[in-house]
Formats: sequence, structure tokens, C-alpha cells
Amino acid sequence: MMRNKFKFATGIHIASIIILVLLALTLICGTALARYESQSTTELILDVQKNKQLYLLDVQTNDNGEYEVAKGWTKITEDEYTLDFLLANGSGKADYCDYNQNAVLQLVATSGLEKADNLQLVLTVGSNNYTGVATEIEKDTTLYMMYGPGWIYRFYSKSGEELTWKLLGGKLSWQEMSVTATGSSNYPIALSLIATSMQ
Amino acid sequence: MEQIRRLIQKLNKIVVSFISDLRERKLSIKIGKDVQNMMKKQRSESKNSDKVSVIKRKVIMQAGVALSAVLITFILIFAMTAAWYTNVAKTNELSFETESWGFDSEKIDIAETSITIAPGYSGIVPLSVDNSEGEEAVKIGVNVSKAPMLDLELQKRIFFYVDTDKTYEFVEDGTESEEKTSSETVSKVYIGVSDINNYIYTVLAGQTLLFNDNYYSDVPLKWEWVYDMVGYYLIGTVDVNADSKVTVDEYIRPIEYNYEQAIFDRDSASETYQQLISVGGVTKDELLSQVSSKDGYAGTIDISKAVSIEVDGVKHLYYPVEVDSTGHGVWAYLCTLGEIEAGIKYDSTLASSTETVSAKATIILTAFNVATETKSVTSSDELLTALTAGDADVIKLENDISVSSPIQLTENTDVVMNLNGYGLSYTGTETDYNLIQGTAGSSLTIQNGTLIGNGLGSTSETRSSMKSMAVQTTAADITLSNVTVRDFDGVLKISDEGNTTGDSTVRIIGCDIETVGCSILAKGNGTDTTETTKLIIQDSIITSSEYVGVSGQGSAGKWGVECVITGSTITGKYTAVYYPQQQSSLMVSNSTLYGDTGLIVKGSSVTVIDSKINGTGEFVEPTKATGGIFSTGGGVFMEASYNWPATIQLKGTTEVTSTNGYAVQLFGVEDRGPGKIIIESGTYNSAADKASATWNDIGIFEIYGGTYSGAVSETIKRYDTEGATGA
Repeated sequence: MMRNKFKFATGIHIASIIILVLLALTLICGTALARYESQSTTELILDVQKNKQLYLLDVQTNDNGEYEVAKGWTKITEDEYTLDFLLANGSGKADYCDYNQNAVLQLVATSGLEKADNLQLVLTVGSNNYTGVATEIEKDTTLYMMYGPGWIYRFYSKSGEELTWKLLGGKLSWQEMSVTATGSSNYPIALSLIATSMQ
Repeated sequence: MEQIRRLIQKLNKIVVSFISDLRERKLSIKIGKDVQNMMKKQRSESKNSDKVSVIKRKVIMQAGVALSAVLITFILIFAMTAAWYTNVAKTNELSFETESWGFDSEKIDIAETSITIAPGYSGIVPLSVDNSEGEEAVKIGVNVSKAPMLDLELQKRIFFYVDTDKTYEFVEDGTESEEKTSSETVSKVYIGVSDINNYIYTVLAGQTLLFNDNYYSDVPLKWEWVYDMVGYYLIGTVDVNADSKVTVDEYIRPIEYNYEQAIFDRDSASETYQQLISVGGVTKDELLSQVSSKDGYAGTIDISKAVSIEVDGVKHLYYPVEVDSTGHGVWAYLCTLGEIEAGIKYDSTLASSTETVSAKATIILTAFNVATETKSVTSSDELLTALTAGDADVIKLENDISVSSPIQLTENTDVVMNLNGYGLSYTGTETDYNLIQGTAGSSLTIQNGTLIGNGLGSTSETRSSMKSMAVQTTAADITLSNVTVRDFDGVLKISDEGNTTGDSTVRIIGCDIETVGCSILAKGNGTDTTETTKLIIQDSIITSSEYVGVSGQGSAGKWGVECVITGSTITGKYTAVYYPQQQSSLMVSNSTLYGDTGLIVKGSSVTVIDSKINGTGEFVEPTKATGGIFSTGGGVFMEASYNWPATIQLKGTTEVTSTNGYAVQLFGVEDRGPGKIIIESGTYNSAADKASATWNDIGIFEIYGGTYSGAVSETIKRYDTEGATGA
């Protein structure tokens, strides 16, 4: 009987010793690893950019030398209208975006436009002309819910890359552009010019 | 002391009582019935018997040992926890001080200036890790905690990632073999606070890991604010048994799709009210399957296992990605229409706020060195055997070694080849060869020595063919550090075109390269992957005696290259750098470029800052579109004659000089390009009879500042002079 008890007590001792040895090994291993680590932790501060992003301004300043919003479409002929504007990064010399922007221009044609073939949109920048490529707004999409049925026109380089226009930040900068709409329709067409700031 | 003694006695009694009880109830089988009976008998017969005393002593001893073990365990756990994170662990009585291992955390610097963020934008997190005086490479693990962003909405839309692709290999449960059974490649490595969401950089001895707006010496750590917050992965617990409570530890990566093309269920009576139905013809289930196949987590999201949580009559679905039995793990979540619309309003409100809105994130950089297995080699056989075996971290040359056939890396190659001041030369007799061929997935660093070709490459008339190369790579990770290269046509050809498995990342750091043909040619893989080929040239001298220092290629499907050149001097016969391809980028900072024409650009976005560019060749006026390189003798020449846009931005203290021609010239072609040059600042010196800035009135040329030795074409739009207009 005593032998059994002794065995039990010895077992407890051995188990305890094993635990201690394992803990000691873990400690040695842990400190060894720790010895070869160092850490640097810093808080990064992220400031939200204020809403000074893109503006569509009139090409001419007013009598006070201030920029105003683009005035609207000018009728050239019965079937041709044009919109001259400045794609700008601010509304005035003291109000501009601080960082560089890449702007994408799109036009949404809705309401009376029965089919995309009835309307040709050409974006002119300097001596370069870019013909808009129409994509029908799919029913029930978010875009459809915003504008209704119609087409969205995008402008691409010949290689198929959607054109972006770089506007330098930290000062008022702009790009003079015009859009010419040519076509005919039995109903009035609503054209919305959208400038989106992209990375 | 008396109180302590009494306390110990009390504790002992409790332990004795507990152990005795335990022995009777739980350990009766081990002790044996006879022992149990004996003890009962003894206790009932005589509490003062000797045998009972012996048992008591034993029990007290056991309890003492157990108590000691518990106490030591607590001490060790506390000590080790502190040690893990602080490098120096201290407890009240115990102190473990670490030995210096050559890396000082003071040499880790994270920018303390604020970063301006906006929806849809991303940028580099500025930081540096200086190991320039180190004698060993150091590993830098990066983690980011968004916990300091007190506004949870920001945590859902601002993410941090390392801008590189990465392949994760998975072994399915129950598989005995250690071989991978599946893999996924992510285009970005999203960074979180947990170990599974980190990235580890290697900073070689003598080098600095440096990220800022103008330069990065390795794949950069970036932040991004998703344009529309439409979904995300989170780590947390979705517990359907606890009032469907969702506890989020962290938001780890966004789910992105084109919101404008999305269709949602708008029927308030529907079971799936406000949930996404499809995007651009792709159903929600297909979208989740696509996302899941590229998320870096094993398996595919099982739509049927989604957990639905209803809030105000709208069901929110959480999809398990890697979740344990308690509901904790990685979940995917697609926002409802209401949440997305609220998110858009939230973004707009933030941006229009009159108050400055700031958020904070904690960047955690952990420097550690790792044990490396170094294998010394003295012959080509030993070198090739060591490369094939793959069991060494570092292969170190003990003398010059020659190989007579090319060295082919495998996808499992991940090694540093330390030339140790010696030369690795090629003695094969062919003219068309690559000394080292990097294949997809391989990783090789070559450092501290010389790579020597056989000098039998292209003839001088056909230097552009680049027949003999030191290194050719496809979707591999290659670093040349402190390496001299001689007697090849070129040192590096990146051939990622047509490869769908990944993109190469190549670093040329502190190298001295002389070639006769194109020194470095970088070909991307267009739309074959979403990531870009990365080429980083730092603190190097590159000279091509007969052709071009660094070149891209304009052919279809070979674009998608990000090239950064800093602190380097590059010389080419025709031009130092030729960049014709589309949808790529080039950043030149603190560098000097020499050539007949200093820099020729025909596509992509190029930025030059604080650099010197010199064109010394014969002046030639461009009159028509050309294919390939056309040298004008100018400093910077853009020919926007291809079907894609090209932009050059010149800024800082950049100095552009042409000995015989224009300093800066844009030659546009109607309905091509368009080409755009923006001069923000700098000095522009042209030949005495030539304009400093000129164009043919096709494209866009804007000047915001700078000093010009010669004339500036009148039609260039100038913002830096009085009375400038938009016309």
C-alpha cells in the first residue's frame, strides 16, 4: 500500500518537475526570441481633405475678374450645340484644391434621347477631339435610379484608356475644354456633364 | 511576517483539504481502492497516527510544489508577454535585459506629419528603416491597427495594404503530405493588427527601406479610402446564439465593385430587401465567389452558410470565410443599399465639414533578425547543388566561380546569393543566353560581387536585341545589391508579358553596371494581372555604351510597369531612359540622366523631381511621328504619337540642359496621345539659338514656374506670368 502511495506522490513530483522544466525552456526560448526583436509604434494622422475638388467654370471671368460657373450650352446650328468650360480644381484664385487630381469627364444623356446613334458628343481639348462612346444605362442600376433611362458617354484614348485630366494642386489650375453635341431628337434631351476626381 | 506565516498556513490547509478531497473523489482509480479504504480507515481510527502524518506531509509537499508551479507560471507568462513586445522585460523582482544585435529601433522612422486623405484616393505611408550601418539583414514586419480611429465608419473605408501581389498556398485538412493542395494570389496584401495580416520586408545590410510620396525602395505600404464603401472582410464574432451579436475586432480588407452598375432589391416586402442582386450582369453569388477566389483565404465562400441578422426589417448577411466553432474568425459582408447610401452621405458630410476631421492609425514596425542557414560554395557544382537543394537561406561564394550553362531558378527558389566580393562568370560560348533565369514565384537576391558575361553577345550593330543578359525574369522577385556587372549586352530583362500568375518586382540597389546594349528592359503584362511590374533603381550607376540605359516597350500587352529611379546616374548612347508604353509610371528623383537626348517619353505618367537631365547629341527637329526611339538632342523630349496618353511633370530643383537643342519639347500628333507636359519649377537651359520650352501646339503644355535660359513658346499656357489666362 505504501508503495502505491509512494508511486503516486512520485508521479506528482515528476509531473511538476516536467512542467517546471517546460516552463523554463519556454522562458529561455521566449527571451531568446525577444532578444532579437525591437518594435517601433507610431500614430499616423490622416486629415480628411475638404470639399475643394472639381469645378466646371466659365471660360471668361466676370467684370471683377472672378470665375463663374459654366454658363450653359450655346446653339451653333439647329442640330449642334456647344458647351465651353474650364475644368478647374477651384472656384477662384484663393480657393483651390491642395493636392493633384486626375479628373474624368462623362456626359449622361437622358429623357428625350431615344437611341445613342441620334446624338454624337465630341470633347475638344486643344487641337485634339475625342468622340464619346455611349453605354446604355442598365435598368434598375444605381445610375438608372439617379438619372433614369438614357446613355452615359465616356471618352477614351485610341488605345481604349479612359482619358483623365491632370490638375495640379496647391494653386488654381484648369483645363479649357468644350463639348459639342450634334444630332436630332423628337424630344428635348437632358445632358449632364459629370466631372469625377480619381486617383 | 506573522501575518504572512498565518496566510501560508491557511493556504496550506485549504490546499490540503482540496487535495484530500480530490484524491478521494477524482483519483480513486489511480490510487486504488485499497489505498482509499486504508485512508478512510486511518482517518476514522486515529487522526494522530504516523501514517496519516506521512500522508499529510506528502500532500503538503505536493501542494507546495503545485503552488510554486502556478506562481512561477504566472511570473513567466507576465515576463514573457512583456518581453515579446518591449524587448526588455521587467517584473518587480525579475529583469531580463537583452543583448544588442545591431539594430536600433531609433532607426525606424514613421512620418509624424499628417496625410491628407479623401474618398477614392490612396497614397504611400511615409516611413524609413535605416540599416545602412548594419552588418546583417534585418526583417521588418508591418502591422497597422485602426483601433485609434474612434469612428467605426472610418475603419470600414480606410484600409492599409502593401502594393504587391502575393500567392498563398493551402494544405487541406487531413492531407498528410506537406505539398500544397491549392493556392490563391491576391493583388494587394492587406495589413491589419493580427499576425495573419502582416507583411515582412527584408532590409539588407547597408541599405535603407524608404517610402515617401516621391520614392519607394521596395513595394510600398499604402493607405486607401475606398470610393464607395460597399462591403468588407472583418475579423470578429458573429454569434447567432447571443442575440445575433456582431463583435468586430478589425476591418481587414474592402470588397469593391462598381456601385453605379449595381442592382439592389428595392421591394420592402421582399426577403432580400436592400440586398445586392447583381453588378454588371454578375450575380451576388458569383461576385462573392470571385472575391473569395482572390482573397488569400483557403476555400470559397459558402453562400448557404451565411448568417442573417435582421435590423429594422432589413436582413444583413455575414458570410463565413474562415470561422471557428464559436463564430469567431474572418467574415465577408456586403453592405445593404441603405448602408451604402448612408456611407456616401457620411463621406460628403466629412468632406464638407468646416472643422478639420482627422483620424489616426497605429503603424507597428517590428524589427527582428532570423537565423539563417548559410552554405559556402567553392565550385559551380556546389553552387548549383545548393540552389537546387533549397535548404540554405544564404549561399556564399568562397572564391570566383564560373558556370558554363545558365542558372535556372525554380518557383521554390528563395535564397540570397552572397558573392562575398568574388565573381560569378559565364563561360558558355553561345551569344544568346541569360546567366540567371528567374521563373514565376522565385525569389533571388544577389549581393556583394561581380557578374561577368562572356562578352560574346550582340554585335555593335544590333545592340538593341539584348542577346546576352545577366538576369532575365518573369514574375519573380529579384534584387541586385552592391553588384558590378560587366560583359553582357544587358543586365536585366523583365519579361512579364503574357504571364497571368504575377508580376516581377526587381530592385537594383547600389550597383555598378556597364553594358553595351540596353542595360535594363522592363516589359509588363498589360491586363493579364491587376498588379504592375515594379522596377526600383536606387543609388546605382548604369551605363549603356551603345544603346539605352533603361527602357520600357510600347508593344501591345507589354505595359503596366512602375519604375522608380533615385540617387542614380544613368547614361545611354541614344537616351538614358526611354519610356514609350501606356498605363505605366516613371518617377525620377535625385538622379542624373545623360544621353544624346536625356529622356524620351511616348506614353505613361512620368515625374521628374530634383534631378539633372542632359542631352548632348546632335540637334534634329522632329517633323513626323516615328516608331521607336527618335533622338532630338534635347534634354526632355515627348513624342505623343502613339494611341495613348503621355504626361511629364517636372518639378523641384530639376535642371534640364541641352547642348545643341531644346531643353524641353513636346511633339504632338493630331488625335493621338494626348501628350501633356507640366513644368512646375526648375532650371531649363537650351542651346543658345534654341527655345528652352517648345511644342508644336498639339497637346497640352503648362508652365507654373521655373527659370529659362532661352525663349518659351508663346502658345504654352503659363500660370507663372502676370495676366495668365486659361486660354
